[in-house]
Amino acid sequence: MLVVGIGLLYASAAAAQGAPPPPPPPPPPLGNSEISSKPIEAGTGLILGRVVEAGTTTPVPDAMVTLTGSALGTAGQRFTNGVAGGPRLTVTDTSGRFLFRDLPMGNYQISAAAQGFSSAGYQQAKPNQVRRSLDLPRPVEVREGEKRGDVTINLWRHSGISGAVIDEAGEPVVGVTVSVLTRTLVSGKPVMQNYTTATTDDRGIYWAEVVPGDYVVGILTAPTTVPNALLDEWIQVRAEGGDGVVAFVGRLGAAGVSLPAVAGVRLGATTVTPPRPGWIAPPLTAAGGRLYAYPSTFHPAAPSAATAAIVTVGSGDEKPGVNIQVSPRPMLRVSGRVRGPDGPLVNVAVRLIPIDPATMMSSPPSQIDEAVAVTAADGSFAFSTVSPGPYRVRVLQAPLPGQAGPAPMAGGQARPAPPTLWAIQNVSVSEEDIDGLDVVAKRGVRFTGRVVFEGTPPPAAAGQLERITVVPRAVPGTNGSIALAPGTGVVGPDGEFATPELVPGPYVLEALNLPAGWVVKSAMAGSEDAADRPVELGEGGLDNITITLTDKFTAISGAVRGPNEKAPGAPIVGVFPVDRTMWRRVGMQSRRTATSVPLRNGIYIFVGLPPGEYYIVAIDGAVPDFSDPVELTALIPLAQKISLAAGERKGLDLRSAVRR
Amino acid sequence: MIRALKAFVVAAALLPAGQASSTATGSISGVVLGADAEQTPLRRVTLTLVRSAFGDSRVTSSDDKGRYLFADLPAGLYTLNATKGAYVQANYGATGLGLPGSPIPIANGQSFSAEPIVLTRGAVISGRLTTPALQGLRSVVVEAIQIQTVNGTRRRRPASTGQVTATTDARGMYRIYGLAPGDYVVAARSLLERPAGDGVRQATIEELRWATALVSGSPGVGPQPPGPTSDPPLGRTTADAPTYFPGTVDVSAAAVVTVQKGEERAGVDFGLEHVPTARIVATVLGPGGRPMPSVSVFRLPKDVGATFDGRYTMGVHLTGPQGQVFLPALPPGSYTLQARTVPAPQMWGSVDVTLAGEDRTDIQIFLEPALTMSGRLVFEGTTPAPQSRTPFAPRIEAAAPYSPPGMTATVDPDSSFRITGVIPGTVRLVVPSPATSAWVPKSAMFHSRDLIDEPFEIRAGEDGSGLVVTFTDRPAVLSGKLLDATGRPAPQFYVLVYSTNRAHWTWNSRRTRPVRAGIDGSYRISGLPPGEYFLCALTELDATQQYEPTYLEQFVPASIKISIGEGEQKVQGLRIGGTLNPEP
Repeated sequence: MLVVGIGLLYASAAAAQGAPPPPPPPPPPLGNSEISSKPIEAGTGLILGRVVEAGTTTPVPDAMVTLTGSALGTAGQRFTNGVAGGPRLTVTDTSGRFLFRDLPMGNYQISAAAQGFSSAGYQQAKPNQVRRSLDLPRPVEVREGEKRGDVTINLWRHSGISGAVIDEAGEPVVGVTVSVLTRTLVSGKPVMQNYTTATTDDRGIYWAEVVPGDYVVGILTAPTTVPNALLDEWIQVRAEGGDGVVAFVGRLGAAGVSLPAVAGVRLGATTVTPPRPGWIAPPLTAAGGRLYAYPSTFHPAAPSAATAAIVTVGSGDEKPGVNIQVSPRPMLRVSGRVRGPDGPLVNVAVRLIPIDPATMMSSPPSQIDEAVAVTAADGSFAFSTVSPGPYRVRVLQAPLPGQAGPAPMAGGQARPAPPTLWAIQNVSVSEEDIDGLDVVAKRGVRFTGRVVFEGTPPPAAAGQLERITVVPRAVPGTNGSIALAPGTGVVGPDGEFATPELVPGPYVLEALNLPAGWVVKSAMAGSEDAADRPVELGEGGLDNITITLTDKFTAISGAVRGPNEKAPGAPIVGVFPVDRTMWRRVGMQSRRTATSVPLRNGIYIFVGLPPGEYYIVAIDGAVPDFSDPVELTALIPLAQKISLAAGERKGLDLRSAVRR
Repeated sequence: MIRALKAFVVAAALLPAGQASSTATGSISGVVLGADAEQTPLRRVTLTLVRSAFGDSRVTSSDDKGRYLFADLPAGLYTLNATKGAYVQANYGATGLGLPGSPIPIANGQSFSAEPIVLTRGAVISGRLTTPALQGLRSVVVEAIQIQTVNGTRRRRPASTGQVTATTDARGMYRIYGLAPGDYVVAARSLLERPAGDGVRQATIEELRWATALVSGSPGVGPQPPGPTSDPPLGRTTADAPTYFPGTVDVSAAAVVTVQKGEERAGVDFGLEHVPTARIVATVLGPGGRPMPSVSVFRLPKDVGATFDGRYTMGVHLTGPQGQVFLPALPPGSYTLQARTVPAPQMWGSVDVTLAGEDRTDIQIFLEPALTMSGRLVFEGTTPAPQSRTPFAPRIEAAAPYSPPGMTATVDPDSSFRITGVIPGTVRLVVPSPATSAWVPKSAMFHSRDLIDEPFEIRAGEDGSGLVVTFTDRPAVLSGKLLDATGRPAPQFYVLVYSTNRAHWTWNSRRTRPVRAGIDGSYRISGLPPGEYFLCALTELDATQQYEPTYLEQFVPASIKISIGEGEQKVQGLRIGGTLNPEP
C-alpha cells in the first residue's frame, strides 16, 4: 500500500464522488529551508473540545491535551502570532474544556492524558493494550477558518496491578524490577510482549499501571556472562581513553556484545551480571558442586511465562495481591565453544533464548528473559544459571547498521560488506548440565537481483534508483527472524541489488524509497512472487530476483455511509485479499492488507494496491486485528468483494457495519 | 569540625608506588550484622567493591550467616559498601550513617579480614504528589536531599547514601527508603516529556467564552470572519517547575523533614508549582551585519550559584537561514547566549538576557574572530614516549564551572598541536592525565608563564603560538600515614593538600587535591607540581566547595606547610591533635 501524495489523494477522492476538486492543500511548511525561519502564517481555525470520562458526560479537568499535525511546523519554527511551531499543549478547565486557536487548515491529531486515566486519542474506542500498525489514529480535520466545537475525547480510568515480591525466608525483595507482559490472543494463540516494568519498594511492594487486558507478571533474571579478560581489557582501554574506546565498542557491537553497566559477580574466569541493577546478585552460593541462584519467576511462583497465572484486569480495576514468591534453586550449566569457518569466534555474544511460541509471533521475536554469554579467546562460553526447558542458542556476528549501509556497486561491482556469521541451534535442558556444546557458525547468504521499470514514462533518474532499498522481512519464528541480522539491500546505478548476508529461511521482499509515482508490481524469484508470499532463501543464497516497478497503480475510493443513510460514526475501512495464502501474517506487513480512515465527509481512498481480488469492509467501533485470520474470516460476511485490474481506478461507496 | 594536627615525619614509604599488578591474588572477607541488640547476621546483603583509579566494581551477596568474600583481587585501593533493601547503605570505614568510607589498600596476595559491617534500618519518607484537584501525579521524580545549614545557608550535605530518589506511580504515590537519620528537603520534578513548543498554554476564561460564541454561531460549518479586534489575547504559557515540599520553588522556603533512625514519615504530600515561561528570538550577525546561518548558540544559566542543588540546564540551538535561533519555554532567570561557528574561520559572540515571563524577540549577537593556540607536546623522562599522542591532547575551556564544551587540540605525529576556535576571555588549559599512563603533566609554558595552574586571560587578536606542554614520567608523590595521639593509624579523614599561593585557589586546580585516607591511615597523592603547599586532615569534605577560596581559607590555621620538589618522593606523616573551632 502506497500513498502517492496528499494532492492526489484529495483529487482522487473528489473525482470518485463526482464533485469539483477541492483547492489543493497549502504547501507543507517544512522541507524548504529558504522559508523555514520565516514565521508560519497563523490561521483562524479553532478546536474547542472536551475531555470526558468514557461512557459518561463527566468532565475530566486538568487533562493535558496535545495537538500535533504537519500544519503546526516544527519546534524550531514560529507562527506570525508568536506561537512556537511544533506540538501544542494545553490543559482542560474544570468543565473539561480545552481550546486550540489560530490554526491553519489541516489534519490534526489530538490526544489527552490525565492523572488517574489512561491516555487516549480522538475517537479511540478503547485503551490500546498493544498498538498495531494498522490501528490508524483518527484525524481532526480543520478547514480554512473553521471553528470546530464537536471534538470530544474519551478517557478510561487507569487500571493497576500490585503485589509483593517475597523470598524463601519471607523477606521482601527490595528494589527489584517486576516485568509486566501483555498476553493477547491472535488466531486463538497467545502472544506475549513486554508492556511495562515496576520496581519494588522497601516492603517488596510494586504497583504497575496497565490498561484493561490480560497480563503475566514476573521477575526476569537471565544474566550476562562476560570473560574477565575482556572486562579487564575494557577497563584498560577506558582508562587510556582516546580512539581506542570507540574502536573497542565498535568491535564488540558487531559481535552483538554490549558490556553491562552494572557490577557483576566474579565466577571463575567470568563475571555474571544481573539484567538490571537491584536484583540479588546471582549466583548466590555453590553447594554440592551446584550453583544456587534465583531463577526467573512469574506470579505466583511459575518458572516461565507460559506457565504463569494470567492476571485479567478490567477498566478501572486495581488488582492487588499479584505476589511473586522467589526461591533459590540449584542451577544448570550450558557451556561449549563457538567456531566459525576460520576457527573459534572470539568475544561474540551467545544468546540462550527460551523457546516459547508466544514470544515468537513477531519478527524479530519479543526478547524476554534471554541470557547472554560472551565467548573467551578460545571461543568458549558458559551459562551458569540455567533453568530446565527448551532453548535456542543463537550467535550472530554481522556488520553494524552503519557498515551494512550504502554498499554502492559501481560498474556492477558489489563492494563486499563484512561477512555475516551465524549459528542457531536448539538445546533442551532437563536434569543435567550440558557441556561441550559445539556451536558451528556459518556464513550468511544473500538475495541478489535487479530492479526494472515497466511503464510509459522513462525510468527515473539514476540518482533515484540508488535511493531504493530492498528489505527482506523474515517470517516470524524462523531462523531469519531470530537472527536479527541487518537486512537492507542497496540498489546500484544499473539496477543491480544485493542484500547483506542473511540467515537462510523464508522471507518476503519489500522495496522502499521508490521514485514518486512508482509501485512494486512484483518481486519474482523464479515463478514465485516474493512481494506476496515468502520465498525460501537457501544455503546457497537466492539470485536473479527481478523486482518490477510500475507506474500503473490502482486506486479505490468512495464514500462511507452509516446505516439508514445517516452519517457514519467513526468507521475505518479495511481491505484484504480474497486469497488466504496472501493474508497478513502475525508480526509482518502485507502490501495487500491496508486500512484507511475516511475524511469527515466519509471519503476514503486506497492507492497502489496490487491488482487482484479483495474484500473491502467499513467497520464502526473497535478496530479488528487485520493480522488475525479468525477475525478476517468473521469480517468476510460484512465485506464486499472487488476485483482490481492493473492501473484500474475504482469508485465504490460502502455502508459501515458494526461488529458484534 | 576540623581537627588540628601536628606533623611528624616517618622514614619509610608506606605503600608501593601504585604500579598496577597483573596478579590477582588478594582477598577481602567479613560479615554483615544487624544493628539490633543480638547483632543478627544479615543475609542477602549486596556488597559492592570498587577499585579506585580504575573505577571497576564487583559485587557479591552475604550468605545465610551474613558472610561474604571477594577473592582474586589485584593489588590496589578499594572502597567497600553494603546495602540491603530498607537499610542505610554502610560505607566501610565510615564514622557514621550515610558518611563516606575509607579505602582499603590491598597488596599482592594480601587477605584482608574486614571488621564486621553493621547495617541500620533506614528511615522512610513517603507521600503523594497531586494536582490541586487531588488527582495523583504520575512519573514525578521525588528526591530527598540531605542538608546542613551553615551560617543560615542550606547546603547539600556531603553524604553518600543509597536510594534517595523515587518516582511516583500512576496514583502519585512515592516512597523513599533507606535514609540515614538527618535533615532533608524533599524535591520533585516531572519526568513527563518536556513540551516541545512554548510550554503548556491554558486558555483564559475570555478565550473560552469567545470560542464558545464562535462555535455556537456556526455549528460545525464554514469560515466565519472573527473581527481581529474581538480576538482575546492568548493565554500564558507555563511549565512545571522543580518544587520543594510543602510546595515552593524557593529552596529557602522548603520545609525541613527531620527523620530519626528507622523512622517512617508518611504524608509528605505536595504538588508541582508552575512558572510562567517566555521565549527568546536572537539573531546572530557576522561581519558587516550579515545574518549567520548554521551557528551553534549555547544557552547557559547565568547565576548557577543561585541554584541550591546544582540543577541547571544548558541548551544548544542552531541558527536558521536568517541567522535566527528561537528558544521557547524558558522559565524566569538570567541566561547567557553564546554563539560559536563550527567551520573555519571560527567566530564567536555572546549576550546576557534576563527573562521574567516576558518574551524577548529583539536579541542580537555580533560575531568576532576566535583565536588559535598552537605549540608542541614534550615528553621529558627516561622511558619511551607514548605511542599515541591523542590521549594527551590539551583542551581549552572557559574558566567558569558551567560552560560550553572546550576545544580540544589536534596533535600531529611530530607532537605539534593546534587548538582552534578559542574564545577570548578567562580560560583554562586542561592537560589530560590518562589514568593508566606513567606520563603526567608537568608544565604548559606560554610566554614564560605556566598556564597549567591557573586561569588566564587571552585577548582578541593575541598571538597564541609557542605553547609548550611538557609531560614527565617521574611525577612527584606525596604520601604518608595519619596517626592519632596514641600513635595508632587514624583513618576516616580526608587529607587535603592545596597551594600556599592563593592565586592557585582556582576551580579544578591540580594543586588542590583532596584524598580519603585508607583504612590503615595511609594516603598518596601523585603528580603535584613543585612548590609550597598547605596540608591538613578533615573529617568532612564538601566536594562542591573544595575549590572555593572562602572554603579553603578556613583550613589555613589547621594546616601545616610543606614543600615539594621536582619529581620528589615525599613522605609526610600526620598526627591528629585536638579540636579546632572553624570560626577564627
